[in-house]
Amino acid sequence: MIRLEAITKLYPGAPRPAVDRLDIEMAEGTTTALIGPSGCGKTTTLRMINRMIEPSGGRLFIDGTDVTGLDPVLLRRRIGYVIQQIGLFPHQSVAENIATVPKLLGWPAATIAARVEELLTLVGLDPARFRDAMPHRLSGGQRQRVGVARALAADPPVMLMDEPFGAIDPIAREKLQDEFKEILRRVRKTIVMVTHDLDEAIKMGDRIAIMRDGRLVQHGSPDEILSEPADAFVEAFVGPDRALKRLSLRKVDDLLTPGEAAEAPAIGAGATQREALARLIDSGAAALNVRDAEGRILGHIDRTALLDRPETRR
Amino acid sequence: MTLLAGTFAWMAANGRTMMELLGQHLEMSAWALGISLAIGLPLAVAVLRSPRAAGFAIALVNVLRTFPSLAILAFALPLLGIGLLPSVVALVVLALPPILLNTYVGLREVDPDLVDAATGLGMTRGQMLRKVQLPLAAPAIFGGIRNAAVQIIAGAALASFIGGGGLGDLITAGIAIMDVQRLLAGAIPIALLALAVEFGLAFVERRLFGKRLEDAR
Ligand SMILES: Nc1ncnc2c1ncn2[C@@H]1O[C@H](COP(=O)(O)OP(=O)(O)O)[C@@H](O)[C@H]1O
Ligand SMILES: [Mg+2]
Repeated sequence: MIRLEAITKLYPGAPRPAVDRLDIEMAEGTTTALIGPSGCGKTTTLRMINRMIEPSGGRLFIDGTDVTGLDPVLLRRRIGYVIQQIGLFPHQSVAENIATVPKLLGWPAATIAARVEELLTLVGLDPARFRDAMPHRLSGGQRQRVGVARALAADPPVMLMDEPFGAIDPIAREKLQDEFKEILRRVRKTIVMVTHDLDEAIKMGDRIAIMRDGRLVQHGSPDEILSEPADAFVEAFVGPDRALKRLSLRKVDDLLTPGEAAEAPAIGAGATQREALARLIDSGAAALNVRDAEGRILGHIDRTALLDRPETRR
Repeated sequence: MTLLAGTFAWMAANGRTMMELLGQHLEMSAWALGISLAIGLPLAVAVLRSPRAAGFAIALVNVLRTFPSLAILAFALPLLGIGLLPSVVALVVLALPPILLNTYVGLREVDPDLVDAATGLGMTRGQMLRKVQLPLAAPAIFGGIRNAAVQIIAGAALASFIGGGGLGDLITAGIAIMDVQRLLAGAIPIALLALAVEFGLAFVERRLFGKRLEDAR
C-alpha cells in the first residue's frame, strides 16, 4: 500500500508548486493509472515515491512505514522503476541488465541466473535466445520487456512506471499493453503507472487518478470516472465518447438473455459491449448471438438491452 | 644514404649508451603518464557534478597547455632544480589536458536516461560510476590516454635541456658539437617510438572498443 499525505513539491524558482498538497492512497496489489495533461505533475509525483525527487513537504508511507526518513538508495532497491526511455545499459547483456538489483543486493550468482531465466520467461522472451543478447539488437517492445524484467528482478512490492509504452510504436503498443496487464496481474504488485492516454489508463488501471495543476481532481475506478466525472475539467478530459468507453469496460456476458435469436449474427463470449454495439451497427440486426470458444450458442443480447441499461442513460 | 648508414653505425657502436638513454626516456614518460592519470581521472570525476568547477579546471589546464614546453621547463628549473623531477612536471602539464578533457567529456556524454535508470534501480554514486559511467566513457578516456602518451614521448626529447636525460641528450649533444649522426641517433628513435605508441594504442583501442563503436552506429 502506498499513501501520500499532503505531498508537495516546489521546484526552486518556480512560481507555484508542481505538486500541491496531494493526498492519495493506493491499495496493495492494485494498479493506479496517474493521468492528466502534460506538466500537471505526474512524473514529479511518481519520482517522489522513490525519492528521486525530494518532497518539499508532506509525508509518504509504503506499507504503513514512513519512508521520508529512510536511506533513498536502499528504498529504491525495494521499488521497481520503469521509464519511457527504458534506459537499458548498452554495454551489458540482457541477463546482466536484469541482474542489476540482485547484484546490488549481493545475491549468489546461481540464484541470480535462475531468477533471470524465470523473468525472461515471464515477460515472454525465450531465455536461450535473449539471455546473452545486447540491448541494441532488440526491438522497442523487447527492450521494454527487459526493462520490466529488470524492475521486477528483486521482487519489489511496489512498481513505478512512467509512460512505459511511450517509446513503443502504436502497432505493437496495444499488444504489449495486453501482455503487461497479464504479467502485472500475475505478479500482484502495487503499481503506479503514469500515462497521458485515457484509453491506456482505462485498460491498465484498477483505479484512475486524474491530476490537474499539481492537484488530484478525481480518484476512482475507470467506471466511476467515466460515469460520474467530478467536474467540468474531468468531463472534458474523458471526452464526449465516455459512454462508449464505458461499454468497452464491460463484457457481453453481463447482458446475456437465454436462448438463440433468429437471424442474428454471432459474437464471441469474451467480446466487450462496445464491440457488440459496433457489430449491431454494422449488421443492422436487432440482436447478437453469443458464442463460446467451441461455437456453442450461450444466449443472445438485444440491441435494446445494450442501449437502454440504466447505467448508460444520463 | 651515407648519413643514415653512419647513424646506424654510430648507434651500433654505442649500444650501451643508446639503451641507457632509451631506458631514461621511457622511465620519464611512464612517470609522467602515471602521474597525469592519477591527477586527471579523479579530477574529471570530481568536477563532473559541478559545471562551474569543470569549466574552471578545463580552462586552467588549457592555459597551461598554451605555454611552450620549453618555457615550462624554464620555469621549472629555478623552482625544482635540474633532473628527472622538473622534466616529469613539465610533461604532466603537457599530458593533463587530453586526459582530463576526454575523461570529463566521456563521462558527461553518458545518456542521462541511463543515469536516471541506474539511480532509480538503487545504485549509489560510486556504483553508478563503476558500473555505468566509466565503462561507457572508456573509449573516450582511452583516446585521451593515447593522445597524452604520444605527446609525452615526443615532449620528453626536451628534458635534456634541464638534465632530465633521455634520448634528447643525443640531440642536444649533436647540435652542440655539430655531429649530425649523433643528432639523428636521438631523433630517429624518438620519432619511431612516438609512431609505435600511436599505432600500438590505436590498435589496442580498436580491439577493445571497435565492436562497441560499430554497434553504436
Ligand atoms: N527539475 C525541475 N525543475 C524545475 N521545474 C520542473 C522540474 N521538473 C519538472 N518541473 C516542472 O514541474 C511541472 C510538473 O512537471 P512533471 O511532473 O514532469 O509533469 P508531467 O509528468 O505531468 O508532464 C512542470 O511545470 C514542469 O515544468
Ligand atoms: Mg512526465
